[in-house]
Parts: sequence; C-alpha cells; structure tokens
Amino acid sequence: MKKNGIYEEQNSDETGVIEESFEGSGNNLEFDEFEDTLIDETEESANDYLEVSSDNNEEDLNSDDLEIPFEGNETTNEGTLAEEGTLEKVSGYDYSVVDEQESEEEENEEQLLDAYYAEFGDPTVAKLMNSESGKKMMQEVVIGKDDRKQIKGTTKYPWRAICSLRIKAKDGTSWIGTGFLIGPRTVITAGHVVYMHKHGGWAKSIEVIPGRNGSKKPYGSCKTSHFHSVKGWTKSKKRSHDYGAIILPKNCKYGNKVGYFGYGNYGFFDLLGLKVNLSGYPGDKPAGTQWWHARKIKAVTSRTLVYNIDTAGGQSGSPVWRIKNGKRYAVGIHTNGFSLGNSATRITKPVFKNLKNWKNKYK
Amino acid sequence: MGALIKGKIVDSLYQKPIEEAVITMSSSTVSRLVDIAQVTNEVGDFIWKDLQPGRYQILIVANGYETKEIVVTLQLHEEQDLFIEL
Repeated sequence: MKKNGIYEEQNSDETGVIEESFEGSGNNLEFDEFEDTLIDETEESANDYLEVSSDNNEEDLNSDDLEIPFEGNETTNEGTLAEEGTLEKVSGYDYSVVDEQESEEEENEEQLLDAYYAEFGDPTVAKLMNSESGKKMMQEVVIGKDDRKQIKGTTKYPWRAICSLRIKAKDGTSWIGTGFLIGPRTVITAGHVVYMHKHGGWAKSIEVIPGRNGSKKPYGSCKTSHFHSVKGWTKSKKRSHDYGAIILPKNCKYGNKVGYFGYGNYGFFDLLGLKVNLSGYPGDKPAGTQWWHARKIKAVTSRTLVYNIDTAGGQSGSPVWRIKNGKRYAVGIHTNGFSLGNSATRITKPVFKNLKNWKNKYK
Repeated sequence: MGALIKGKIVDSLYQKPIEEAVITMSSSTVSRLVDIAQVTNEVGDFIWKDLQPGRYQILIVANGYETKEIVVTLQLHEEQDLFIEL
C-alpha cells in the first residue's frame, strides 16, 4: 500500500511482526496518517527464552533459516583473512580473555541468566539484585578494560561490508551509527537509527559509507531516504523490535562490490555461550574509524542477545556475527548499552523473514 | 516525557562553536541507553531528548581537541543546558 509517498507493507506472521517502511522524504508527509494495525503480541516473559525453534539442537540449520553471505567482487592484495573458531582473527587481540571470561562465569552462570532474563519481565530480579550474590554479579558484568581493536584494513571482507552511517534526523539533528550489508543494496541497522521517536520519526536522510577508515571513503558514499522498520518499533517502541533497513539507490549496489553478510535464525542453545564478533563505528574513537571486539553471548532471551562486548554510541546497528565453515553469519543487530551487559536484537524467525524480504525486494 | 540535555560546544581559546564534535553518552545507572552518538551542528549545538533520570557520562570527541568527559545527573523531566569548552 502506497500513500503520500509512504510505502506501507504489512507482513504479519505467527508472532505479529509487521513490516513498515518509508520511501522518500516529501515535505508534506503526514506520519500520523499511519493506521495503527499492530497485532497484539504476547508479552515477553522470563520463560520466553524457552520457546526455541524446532532447529534448536540441530548442528545444521534448515536452509530456510540461513542466508548465505557473499564476499564481493572486489579483490585486495591483502590476503585471505584467517579466523579463530567462530571469531575473526585480529592481530594483537588476546583471545584468552574470552576463554578466561568463560571459566569465571561458569560458577555464577545460573544466577547470571536469572538476572538477564529477569530484566525482561521476571519480578524476582529485585530480590536477586539485592542479594550479596546479585551485587557481585552486577560488578562482574560491568565492562572493564577497553580492549577493542581498530580495523585498519577496512577494504577487506567482511570489514568493508560494515558501513559508517551519517544520519540527518527530521528535527535537524545529526547522528552517527553503523549498518551492515546483507544484499546488493540492503543495509541492516537498528530501528532507532532509521526511526527516532523523539527527533521527528523517520530520518530525513542517511549517508552510507562502506569500509570507511577515518577520512577515507574507499568506496565513496551514497545518501538515501528509503527505510524500513517494523511497527513494533515505530509505533510501540519495543526494544525487542529495534531493527530496520536502509535501502540504497538503484545506482548504488555496494553489496555486489564489497560483499555482504549472511544471517541466520539460530536457536537458544546454539547462541548461548557462542563467541561472537561485533564491529562498528564508535563515537568515542577518532572519527570514522572502525573498531572490533569479541566475547561470548552471556544471555539469550526470546528476542535479544546480551554480551560484554565493548561498545559506544555510534555502534548501534553493528552486526553481531559468527563464522561457520568460513562464512560470516549475523545473529544479531547491536542496539543498546545496559548495566547488565550490552545487547542486540536477536535474528529470530520473524526478523529473519523481514531481512530476507528486504534483501530480495531490492536487488 | 523524559529529561533533556542540550548544549553548545565551543573552542576554549576563541569561543568559536565547534561543528562535527561527536557526543556519546553512557550510564551505569540507566538501562537501555541506545548506542547512537550525536554530532554538533554548525553552531556547535546538540540536543538529547527523552532521557531517563540518572547519572550520565558525556564524552565529547572533536578533531584537533582533547577529548573531554563530563558527568551529569538528571532528575525526572529535568532540562539541563550545558556550555562546554574544549
């Protein structure tokens, strides 16, 4: 349905996720004209994480739940990137930290999980947090030493498929964020990057800069005003629905050149404890530089992932990914900093379906 | 309606507004702070709306200047107007 330049598509599924999009930036758009047709969702509860897909315990996912990546037609003379299990191999990074974290946390894992899940609805959290063990847990999840690593070879895959974003909000304010390519012209990011509730709604425009490295834009940049998100974010502002897509113009098919990420709908047991990568463009570092970090996923809820990967403002929309059989699959979209750990919107089945639609629709 | 922080960032020597300064906010007391950063406009202004009450660390990074961090505590519905020199 297209009305006054607003392209609105309802794409409901069993969990009531409805896609919503914005095409163009006409001056007379009336955003209030959106009909609120959100299907009520079942409230998230502490037990939601138990609702796993049928593939939870399977080593290989059904092909319907996995979109394969593409490394692009661009070649570099920098050699093939090595990898360390599910992680990228980044020079100078102490990978033992990830394993140390694992052994330290095993003792308190059960309580930690209680705390994380509780944050999403369990009333026992207050009791837990007031206990001595709860206080200790709080201290342990505060992210300490900053051991993020700068990615200097941003023209190599997968780093070049990660994009620095310059966002112009409807109220005139300017912001920075991160996105990642999943198709020729589909860039995935956080919902609050494309739709800012307190700054005018849909962004006025976003400049997408793949593989940016400081002042260098190795592939140039493209500006667009064509975005997608879901009503769970734009109307209901649910943290669990905080994701969206930026659609590049037809003459700007970056994905064909620099490649793009795959993505997968993984089950609870595949995700919990999985070592994952996160790379993006933080605002606390020199402008336009890309920084990577890796840790285990500490908690998995029905719609979010929680980890102690260091992040800062500007990294919203960064891919959270794993390597499997040499290929990169996003499992989450980074959105939040939180005292219990930073977090991502999990790529669940409905999220997966929307990503796939946004990818296939714009080639 | 949450709390609000707005402000202006200027060069301490010449008092000229600094454009393109990047402002990031973090907090150990506020849950679910989104990881997005704001960039000052041509007159060095920024505005951050709908913040939860709590204690915030505000980091300002600008090319050619030393990074500065300030701490702000916001009450419910409070508005603070900051003037920051780099």
